[in-house]
Amino acid sequence: MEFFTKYPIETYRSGELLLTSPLAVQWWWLIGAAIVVMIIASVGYGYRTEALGLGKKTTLGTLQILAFAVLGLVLAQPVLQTQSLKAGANSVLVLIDDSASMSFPESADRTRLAAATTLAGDLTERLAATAEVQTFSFAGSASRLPALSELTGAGASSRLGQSLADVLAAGQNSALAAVIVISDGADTSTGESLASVVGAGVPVHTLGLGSTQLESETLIEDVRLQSEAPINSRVRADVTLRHSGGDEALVRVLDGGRLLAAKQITLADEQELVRTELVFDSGRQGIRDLTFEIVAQGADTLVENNQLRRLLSVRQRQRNVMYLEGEPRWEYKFLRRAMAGDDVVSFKSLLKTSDRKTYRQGVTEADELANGLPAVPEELFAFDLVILGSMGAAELSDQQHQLLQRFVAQRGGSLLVLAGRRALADGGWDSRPLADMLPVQMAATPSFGPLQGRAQVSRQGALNSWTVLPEAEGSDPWASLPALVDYQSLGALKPAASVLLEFVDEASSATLPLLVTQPYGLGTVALLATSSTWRWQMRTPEGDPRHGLFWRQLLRQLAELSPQPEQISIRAGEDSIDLHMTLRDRAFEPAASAGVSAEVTRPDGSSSDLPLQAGGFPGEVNGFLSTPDAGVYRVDVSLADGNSVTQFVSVGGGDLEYRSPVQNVALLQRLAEATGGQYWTPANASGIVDAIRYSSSGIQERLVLPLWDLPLWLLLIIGIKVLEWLLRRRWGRI
Amino acid sequence: MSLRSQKRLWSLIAAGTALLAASGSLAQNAFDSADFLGPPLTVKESALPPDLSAYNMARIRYDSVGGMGEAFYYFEGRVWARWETDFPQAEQNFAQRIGELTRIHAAPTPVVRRLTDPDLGDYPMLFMSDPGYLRFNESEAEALGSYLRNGGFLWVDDFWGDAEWLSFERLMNAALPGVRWQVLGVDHPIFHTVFDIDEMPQIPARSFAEPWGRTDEPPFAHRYPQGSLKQASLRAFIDDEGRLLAIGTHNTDIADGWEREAYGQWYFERFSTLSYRLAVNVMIYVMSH
Repeated sequence: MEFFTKYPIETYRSGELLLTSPLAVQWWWLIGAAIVVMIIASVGYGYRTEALGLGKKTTLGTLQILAFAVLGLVLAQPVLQTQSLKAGANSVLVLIDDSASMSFPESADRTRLAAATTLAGDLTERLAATAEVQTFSFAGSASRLPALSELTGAGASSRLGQSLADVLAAGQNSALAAVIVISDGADTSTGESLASVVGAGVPVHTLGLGSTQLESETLIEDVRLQSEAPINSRVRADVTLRHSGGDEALVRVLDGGRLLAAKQITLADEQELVRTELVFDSGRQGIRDLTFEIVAQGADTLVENNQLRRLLSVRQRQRNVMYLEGEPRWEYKFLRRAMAGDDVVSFKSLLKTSDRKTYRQGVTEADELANGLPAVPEELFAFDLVILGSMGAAELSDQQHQLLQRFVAQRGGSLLVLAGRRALADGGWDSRPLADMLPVQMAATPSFGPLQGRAQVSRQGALNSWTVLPEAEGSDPWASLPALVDYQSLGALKPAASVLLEFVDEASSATLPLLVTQPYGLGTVALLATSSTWRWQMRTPEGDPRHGLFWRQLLRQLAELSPQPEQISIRAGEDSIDLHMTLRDRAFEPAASAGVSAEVTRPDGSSSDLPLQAGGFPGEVNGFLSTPDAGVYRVDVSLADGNSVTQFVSVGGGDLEYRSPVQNVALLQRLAEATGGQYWTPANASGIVDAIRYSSSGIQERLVLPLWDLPLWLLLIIGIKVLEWLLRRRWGRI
Repeated sequence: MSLRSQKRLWSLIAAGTALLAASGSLAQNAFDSADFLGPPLTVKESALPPDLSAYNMARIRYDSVGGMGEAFYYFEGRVWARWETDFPQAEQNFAQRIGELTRIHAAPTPVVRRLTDPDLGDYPMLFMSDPGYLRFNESEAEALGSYLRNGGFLWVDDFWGDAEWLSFERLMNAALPGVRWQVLGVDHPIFHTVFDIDEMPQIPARSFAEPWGRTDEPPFAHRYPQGSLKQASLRAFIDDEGRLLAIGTHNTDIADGWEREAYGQWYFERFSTLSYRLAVNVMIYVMSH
């Protein structure tokens, strides 16, 4: 092709076409006039020689016009004005991925790394005439590569963005024409550094290696698991699997060698990504080093990606729950019984036995909660969850109503509202702040009453661990629960509401919201539209755990959502620990950071202080520590009040490389397009040299390339005339 | 309403009449069955399904051993089975009063169930009266044990003396093998949930009720051997976790205090108030523990 065009295609892409004849403009006029004359002549000729039809005459005329047009273009002396790298004045950086994923097969007989080595050698050789070539390898970071033979394919991570940013920063004083990245795109970083790469203004050409489709592979791609859990609680892990073909597989989670949960699943052919959940008991206090594992029955090329580890901190942090109940009823009794002896929740309740008498349970001091709902923040905010039973709004003062609202919105506490004869609109709550907080537009009319129906988990509820119950002989544990016998209409759902449980009316089969929740301010509000869950205890066979489990899970999870005065977030990267704290006092106002310190204990047992500094907002404290060694780190935070908080984080891990066995084409294409480069494959990699030669970056020289003598023009004119001759012969009109 | 002496007198008359009228082939054990005389005439259950969102008083219907004067008695113009003593007036009055004294929303009409009824769990508290001649079978004992272990509660009232207590204790031992009972003193929280009660009230049958003086019933009105009838007590069966499973108000007839509240002002003030105070405390305790 280049024979006919005289210059590489890349030259035309980057250049601008110009006509340089002094008569170019006039020539165009003359050509235009000639075309008009030709058309008129053809029409006139057509009237006189009617042996040919109009279509044939038009074809012949068009061919003649085209031949004249090409001739006219050549006479206009076209040139291509472009820029080219100035020879010897620029440099090109070649980054070769040296991470572990490059040791995966590129083809049957060589690895990705071997292919990268060959391609890099070829490119380096061809680019040498145009620019100075500097070669780097990268995995966790970039480093100069003296020789291609030093590539090992053993890097534990691929930080493409950071590596690019580093080499661009190092080369900012030289004339950089382009960067070539040879990689499978299996980036294990968060990608935050890519923005600075785009800002450097240097085209990045990406040469992608590796299969673009999963082949003979089954892997655990991700496990989403909360970092902390109360002791002896139900924990749900969402496991994401990727696979190349349908088969049976066993997914399980182990704590050391102890099996916690397992599930047999089918990997359907048409669904590459499979999500499933494992539910297990958190067990006793301590750190769980959990291994999630898939055992596939089919072919599996890489076994390194069949496991994924996660840390779970199981701790016994007491959560405080207060239950205000406005009438003695069975729901109160059995809810209390479900929570009796719970080693996480401290359960205090106030039961209005009559208009003037309150029966207090769970209190430890004679005057504790003697005045009902606390009216000062320091007392109310000590609770994590408040349950409002069948209690009239008029039983709280205006101050208590407002403080309850602040408890949720500002303190971040959780509020659970139960249905009842004195609850919601039946209790006059529709004109109180609670109406704003609820996840429904509260109906203004009383609506509590007998109604028989069954509870079922909604779609949203199926994704939530609040509603997980143990399966009863393989069947839906909700379907076999006794019917509920009362219901309170809730009104229309607000936009942020999530329905976790539904009430199926047995008479009409209508589906109504039963357990609804929504965030409010910093906290959470939930609403249960029945008061007859006690039948799940009394009407099930002896020993059935579902009633107790439901309530313990619901109350624990709601209480767990409530933040502590000190919020400590520790994130572990591949080689660092980031700590972020927000400190508040008992009234949840920002607290001073003086007297707060943190200590890090490394995997080898050595420890050091984690330097802290005040953040941008009152009560905010940040810390950062570089951690080159992978492993489990312990972070002890000492607070000003003498309490301390311990958290564990897992830094590094090294198996991230195996999570992405296919080429990340999207990342490589995005990187190339964002920087003005191109994405290449091994098949067309030879074009990179020409693309860089006419790159817009680096030190350029201007070129004006004549185009009038392209062999293409002669070929076109000959081709047109030959075609016309052939047509005339066929039609007998030579 | 266990009007013991009156009951016994009428029972003797009725038994004599029955013996004269009966043929020689009529076996004595025919009188052992509560079904012999058919269903009691005065039992009025609600025709509608109970409103389970409310508190429903549930009276246990059971069988008793013996014949007239034992399993049955004649009183106020008709024959009563033991299980229906005080029923349904006591429950109806109690439902009314408990709504006034507390915030419990009680259904006005009581229900009657056997221990083996499949919907027994819909009534987390059961009431039995006058179980001195109680007779039960294995399935009833089994059902009661399962019910109590699941969270249900049983209140047994109106039995006097050692022999009558023994019949109930046998049922409990069959239902919950190994379970023991103990007397709850007035320092137990059940005596203080709403009203502070410093003495276990003794309510006699109406026939023995006086405006002043003794409150115990005479021994001849009860099953032999009676032992002491002087001291009323609240006896409780408690599980390993300290939860009350069942209570027996022994040597007292608390439900008679509800049933006979209109007997006279002195009766109401001397007996009904005491029986309501104790019942309210028991109800609040059961609905909160």
